[in-house]
Amino acid sequence: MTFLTRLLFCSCYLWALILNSSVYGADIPSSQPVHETHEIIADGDNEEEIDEGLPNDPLEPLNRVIFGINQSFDAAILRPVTHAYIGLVPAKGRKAVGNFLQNLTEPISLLNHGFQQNGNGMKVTVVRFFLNTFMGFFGLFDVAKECGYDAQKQGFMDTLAKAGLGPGPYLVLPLFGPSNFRDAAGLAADWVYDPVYYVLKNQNKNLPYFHLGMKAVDLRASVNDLVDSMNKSVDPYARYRLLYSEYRRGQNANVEEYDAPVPDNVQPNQNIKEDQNASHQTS
Amino acid sequence: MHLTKLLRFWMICFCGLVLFYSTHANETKHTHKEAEATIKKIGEYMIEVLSNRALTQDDKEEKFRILLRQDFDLKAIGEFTLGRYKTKFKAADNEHKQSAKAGFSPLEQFHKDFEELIVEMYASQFGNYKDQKFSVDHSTNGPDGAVFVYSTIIRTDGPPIEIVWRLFKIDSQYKVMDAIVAKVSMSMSQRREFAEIFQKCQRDKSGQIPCFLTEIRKQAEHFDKIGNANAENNSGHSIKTANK
Repeated sequence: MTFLTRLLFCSCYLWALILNSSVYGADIPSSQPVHETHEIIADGDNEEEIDEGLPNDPLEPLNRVIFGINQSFDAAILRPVTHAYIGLVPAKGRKAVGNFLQNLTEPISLLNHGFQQNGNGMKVTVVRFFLNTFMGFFGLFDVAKECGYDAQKQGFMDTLAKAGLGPGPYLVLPLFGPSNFRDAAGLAADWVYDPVYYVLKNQNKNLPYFHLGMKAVDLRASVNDLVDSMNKSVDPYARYRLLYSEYRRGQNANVEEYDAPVPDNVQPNQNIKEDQNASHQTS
Repeated sequence: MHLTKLLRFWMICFCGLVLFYSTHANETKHTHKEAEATIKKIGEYMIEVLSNRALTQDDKEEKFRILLRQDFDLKAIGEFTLGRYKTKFKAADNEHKQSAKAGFSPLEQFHKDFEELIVEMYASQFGNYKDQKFSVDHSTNGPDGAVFVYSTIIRTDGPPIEIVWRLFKIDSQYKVMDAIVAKVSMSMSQRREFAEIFQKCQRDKSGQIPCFLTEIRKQAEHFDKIGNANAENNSGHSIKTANK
């Protein structure tokens, strides 16, 4: 596929994103603390209820069709290949493959840390890439992690989220699976400017597809149990939608600011004070 | 002389401050240690239960139920997952009390069904246990008085999974209020799932609450079947006892 076609594809997604933002408005930016908000509008006898906890999925009929196709593809090809991969390659080998593929995503992370003006992220990503490439046998071993440089993976979808763009309606992409308008645009943008794609294509035109296939199998293997259990749920489509939305919501949020259950008899900040009083009494 | 007095005053202030901060630091540490110990105990207990091949699926479920009742505030979690529909349940409860009907009130029935759903939902995953290791990493004080304990599940077949536990001290014992797995809050996910069920039940002839309770009971039954099937697959024969 030529650069121009890829650029056109990306532009379509970006246009869809802009339309989505103007039609549906931006949702809660992922960088904001996660709080559930509810509103009940009473209109005489008819109570219209607006619940932000409900999924934003206006394309559900279409999404369900694509989901069905993806599930069939998974059952027929991806799942058997993944199971064969798990059976044939020992855990250490799979980890090395995962590390190698992770190392190839560092250039994308570097660019996105740049877009986000995150100097520390850029520094860590550069150090990780050079350490793992030259000392970790082309990324097979995550030497950088041992040196205290944990991966800070960032894609264009994260850049858009950090810029305050809402996720928009839920979207199931053919073969790629659960997404939303913002993340789909981010994925398309990453695809256009990924330097690894051009390097691999220069070697062999089929190499990028092999790379994509390996990424799919590696990802499927690392979440094999989760995918199998989600497929067995009452409504797998709803389960994927829920977990994907929650996962993405949490990616750029602080877990300590989540809305969560609080016991009836405990007021905010009472917990620590009580504990401190107890310590005074015991000491 | 004046200088000596001033110096003495500052020395006393300094010693007082050092004493205050050292005691305060010990207290904070004490708070965390106790919460961390609760999570460590939960992790070790579950690994012991899951790795014990002599236990049947039913035995494991019962042991998990005991753990839930002991170390989790299921009542608060359950009511949180109801979200704004909690008010509907409270209204239905009041009606139940006024009519002096026998049996469980709607909210009591929900708590019963909610416990069953949680037990069956997580028990259906027991078969996936593959020698994972559990470690407690560190803990912090939350902004609203909660204590957060950070832990990791080290897997042989994939990258490690971070679990953040949110605990509150209730009656001198730490209780888990939420588990955030890979940044996904379990109670919030459950709340959103319940909101979808409530939405589906909005126009149900039997009424929204009875329809909702039937739906979550159906889910529990579904997970029970999956758990049994997984247990059978793992052991090669049925290990489910008949007297459930």
